[in-house]
Amino acid sequence: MNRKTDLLQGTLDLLILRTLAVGPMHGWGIAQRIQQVTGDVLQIAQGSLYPALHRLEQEDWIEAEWGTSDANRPAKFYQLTRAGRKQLAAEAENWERIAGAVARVLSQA
Amino acid sequence: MIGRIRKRLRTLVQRSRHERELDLELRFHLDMLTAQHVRAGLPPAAARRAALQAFGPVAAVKDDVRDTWLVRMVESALQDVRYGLRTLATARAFALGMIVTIALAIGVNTAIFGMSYALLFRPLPFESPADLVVLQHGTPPSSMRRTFSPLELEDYRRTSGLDAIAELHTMWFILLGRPGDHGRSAAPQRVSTGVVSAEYFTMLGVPAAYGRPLTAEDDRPGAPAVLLLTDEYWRRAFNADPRVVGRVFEMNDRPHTVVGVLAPFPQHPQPMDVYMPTSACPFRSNPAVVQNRDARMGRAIGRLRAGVTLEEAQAGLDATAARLERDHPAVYASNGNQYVAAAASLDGAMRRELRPTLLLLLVTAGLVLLIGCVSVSNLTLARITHRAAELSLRSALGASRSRMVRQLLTENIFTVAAGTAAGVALAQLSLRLLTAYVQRSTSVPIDQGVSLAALVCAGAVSILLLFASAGVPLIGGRASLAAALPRRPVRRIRSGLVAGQVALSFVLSIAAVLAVRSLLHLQAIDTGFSTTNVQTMRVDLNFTRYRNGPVISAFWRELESRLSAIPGVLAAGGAGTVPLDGQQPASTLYTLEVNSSRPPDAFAPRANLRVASPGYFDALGQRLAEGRGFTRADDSRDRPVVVINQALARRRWPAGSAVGRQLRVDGIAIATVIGVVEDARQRLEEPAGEEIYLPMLQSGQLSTQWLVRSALQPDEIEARVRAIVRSLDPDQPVDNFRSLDSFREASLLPTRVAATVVGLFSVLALIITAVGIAGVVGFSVQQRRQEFGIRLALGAPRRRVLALVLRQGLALVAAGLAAGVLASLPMLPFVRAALFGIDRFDPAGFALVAAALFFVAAAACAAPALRAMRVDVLRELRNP
Repeated sequence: MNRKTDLLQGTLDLLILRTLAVGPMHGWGIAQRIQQVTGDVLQIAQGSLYPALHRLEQEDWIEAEWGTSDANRPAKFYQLTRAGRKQLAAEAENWERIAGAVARVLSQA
Repeated sequence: MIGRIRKRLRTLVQRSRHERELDLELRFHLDMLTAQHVRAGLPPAAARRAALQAFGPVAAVKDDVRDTWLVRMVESALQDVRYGLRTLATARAFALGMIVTIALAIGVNTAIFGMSYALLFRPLPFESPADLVVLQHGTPPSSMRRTFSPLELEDYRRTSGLDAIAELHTMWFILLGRPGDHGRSAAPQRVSTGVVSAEYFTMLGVPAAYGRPLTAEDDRPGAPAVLLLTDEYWRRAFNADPRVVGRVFEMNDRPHTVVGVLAPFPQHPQPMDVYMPTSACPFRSNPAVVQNRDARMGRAIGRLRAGVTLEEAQAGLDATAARLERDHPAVYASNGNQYVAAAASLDGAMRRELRPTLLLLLVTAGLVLLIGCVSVSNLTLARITHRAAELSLRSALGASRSRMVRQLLTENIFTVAAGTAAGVALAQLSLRLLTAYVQRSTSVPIDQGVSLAALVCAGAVSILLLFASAGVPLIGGRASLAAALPRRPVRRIRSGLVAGQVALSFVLSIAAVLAVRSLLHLQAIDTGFSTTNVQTMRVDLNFTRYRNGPVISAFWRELESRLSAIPGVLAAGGAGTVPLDGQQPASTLYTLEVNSSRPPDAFAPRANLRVASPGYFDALGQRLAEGRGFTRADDSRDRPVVVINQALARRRWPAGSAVGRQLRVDGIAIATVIGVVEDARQRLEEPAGEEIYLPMLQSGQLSTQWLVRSALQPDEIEARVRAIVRSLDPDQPVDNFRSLDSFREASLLPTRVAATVVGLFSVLALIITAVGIAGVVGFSVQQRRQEFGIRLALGAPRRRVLALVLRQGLALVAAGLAAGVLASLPMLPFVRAALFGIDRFDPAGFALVAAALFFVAAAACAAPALRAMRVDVLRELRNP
C-alpha cells in the first residue's frame, strides 16, 4: 500500500477524500489534482492511488460509478458518500490537531 | 447497509467482472498519462515508458487492489458469523432443537457405524485375508463337519488351487511352573491351548512380537515341546514381561519351553491362552490318531493360491473328495449320499454371529438419521417462514438469493458444528460401553473409541444434515425466499415432512416394541432351576495324573463331600457343563430297550448326554419328578444307572412311569432309569431337549463345573473352595468363579442391548416427531389466527375451531401411520433375525405402536389447537 511513497496511508486517504469533496472525479483526475495542488512537495507514484481508492470504496467512504471522461472514454468516477464526508471532517480535524501540535513543538525547540 | 451488501456481493460473486473493470480503470489512467507526455513533446514509445515509470509497477498495484478485496471478503465472512451467532442467540429454542437433533443423529450413527465398520467391513488383520478359507466336509445336508483327521488333511493339502492348509484344534491343559525355575507361577493354571500345525501363523501372517514363531522343526514328531503365548495371556499372566521367552513350564508331564509371544490377532474359533505345535499335543501326536482316518479333531484353514477364486478352489476340493470316496469307500460311503468338501471364507465365518444384530442396529440408526434430516429441514423451514418478513425486506433491499442462502448456511454451520461435536462426544461415550459388551462375543478387534471410519461417518452425516437443513428448504421453500412468500406450498411441504417423520417413527417404534417384547419374553422364561445364590467354578483334572476311573471318582467324591461340609452351604454338586454357559453338551445316540412299552424307533434318536454328581440336582435346584437322584453308591460301572428328564420320559414312555425302564446309551452298557428330573433349559432361548444324565462317579469325567448353593459371599466361597482343592491336590487349578446369575444375565445381554438401543432410538424419534408435529400445527395456527377470529365472530362454536386444528394435525399423523405400516413390513426380517421369540407379524404390537403414536401426536396437536380455540376475536379483527 505504501509502496514507493513517502506518504503515510492516512495522509493519502485524507488527500483523496479532500480532493473528492469538490465533486465526482476519476482516478486520473484525482492524481492530476493532487499534483497540481501540492506541486512537487508530495511525490507519489500514481499507481498507489488505486489500492487506496478501492480500500476507501470498501469502507463505504466513497462510491464508484462508470461514466464517460472528457476524452469520451469510459472511466470510473468516484464520489464521496455521506459517511465519507463525515470521515473527511474527522480526519481533517485530526490532521490539523497533529500538525498544530508538531508546529508548537518545533517552534519551541 | 444496502450498498454495503450489494458491494460485497459484487465482490464475491462477480470477481471476474471486477478484474476487467480494474484493468480498464488502470489502462485509462496510463493512456491519459501517456497522452500528457506526448503533448509535452515526447515520442509515443518514450511517453509510454515515462508514464509507466510515473505510475509504478502495474502488477504490484493490481495485487494491492486485490488485497483490499480479500480483506473485505474475510471481513464479510466474519460478519456472517457474527450475524449468525447473534440471530441464533435470539432463537435459542431453534438452536437448541437443531443441536440436540443433530447431536443425537450423529452420536447414534457414529457409534453404531464405527462399531459395525470394524466388525462387518474392515479387512481382518491377516496377510491377504480374502484368500483365507475354512474347510468342511461330510455328506450333506445332515452331517457336514469342520474337523478333519490328520490323514485327511494330508490328502486335502494336495488339492489344486490351495497353497496350504493349516490345522488347529483346541484343548485345555494345565500349566505348572517348574521347581527351581525362577518366578514359578504361584498357582497351577488351566490354559486354553490351540494346537496348530507349523504353517498356521505364517499362513495367517501373524508374527511373534518377542522370541520366534513356530518352525517346521518344532512340529516334527518327537521334537522338544514348545509354547507360544498369546498377547492377551502374556499380559494377564506374566505382566507383559518379555523375559518369559525361554522359560520352561511343566505341562502334560513334559517340559515345554516358551519360544515366543505372538502379536495380537483375532483368533478363530475362540481366543486361546497359548499355542503349541501338533507334535506337543499328547492326543494329536498319539500314533493311533495319526494313523486313524476317522480320528477327526483338527479344523482346517486354507489359503487359496494367488489368483485362484473360491469357485476354482472348490473344483479342486470336489476332485479330492471324489478321490477319497473312491479310495476309501468304507470310510466315506454313506447310504447313497455323496461325500463332499467345501470351502468358505474365513472372514465370513468369523463375522457371522453378530451380523444380524449389527444390521438391525445399523438400520435403526439410519432411521434415526433420516428422522433427524427431516427434522432439521423442518426446523429450518419453520425458521425461514418465521423470518419471512426479515428475509423479504433484505431481498427487497437487494440481497440476492444466493447471498441469503449463504447466510442461512452460515447460521446452520454453527448448529451443525456444535451438534457434530456433541454427537462425537456422545459416540465416544456410547462406543466405550458398546464395545465393552460386543468385544466379548467376537474376536474381531473393535476400536475402543471413535475410529477414523467413525469420524468419516460423522463428517459425512454432518454434511448431509447441513444440506438437509439448507438444501431442502431451498428446493422446497424457494418461494419463501422470494419477496412474495406464498405460504401454502411451504405448509404443504412441512406437512409432508411431518407425515414422513411419523412414518419413520412408527417403523422404529415397531422395532423397539418387538425388541422389548423379546427381552421380556426371555426374562420371564422359567429355566426349571433357580439361579440365585449359586456360585460356579471349573475344575479340570490333569489327565496325566488322574488316569483311571477309580482315581477320578475318588477325587470328585472327596471334593463334593468337602464342599457340602462348608458351613452355610446348602448343597454342592458337579456336572460336565452348567446350564446357560453357552457350551454345547455332548450328544449321544441311545436306544430304548426291547421291554419298553413301545417298539424302538427306526432311526436311533439323539439325546444330550450330561454327567451329574450326587449333589448336582439339589445344588442347581432342579426338582426330581419321579424316582431318585444319584447317590454316592452309584459309582460302579457294573450297575449302570441314568436319570432322564421329563422331555425324554414323556416322549418315550408317554403312558406310565419311566423309572425302572432300561435304555442303551451309545458306547455304554444298558442302563436302568432310576429317576426323572424336571426339564431344565440349557440355553435360555430353547426349551430343554431330551436329556440323559450319567452319574459322574461312573463316568470318568475329567472336565467339570461345580455349583455351590449358599448365601455366603462369593469371595468367601471362592477362598474356601480354593483351600479345599489345594488340600486335595496342590497342583490342581480351580478357576472361572462365576455366579449362576451371571450366566443368565450373559444370555440376556444381546437382547437387552438391542432392546435398550432400539428402544432409546425410538423414544428419541418420538420426541423429535412430536416436536415436529407441534411445530407445524402451531405454525399453521399462527398463520390462520385471523381466519379463526372471523369464524368465531360469525358464530362458529369454539370447539369447532379446536376440531378443525386437531383434524388437520391428526390427518397428517394418520397418513404417516399408514405409510409407516407399509414401510415397516420389509424391516421385519431384520428384526426377526436378530431377536428371540418374534416369529411372525405381530398385530398387537402394530396396534399398540399406532395407538401410542396417535396419542403422542394428539398431545402434540393439543397445545396449538387450544391456542386456536382461545383466539381473541376482537383483537384479531381489529389488527389484521
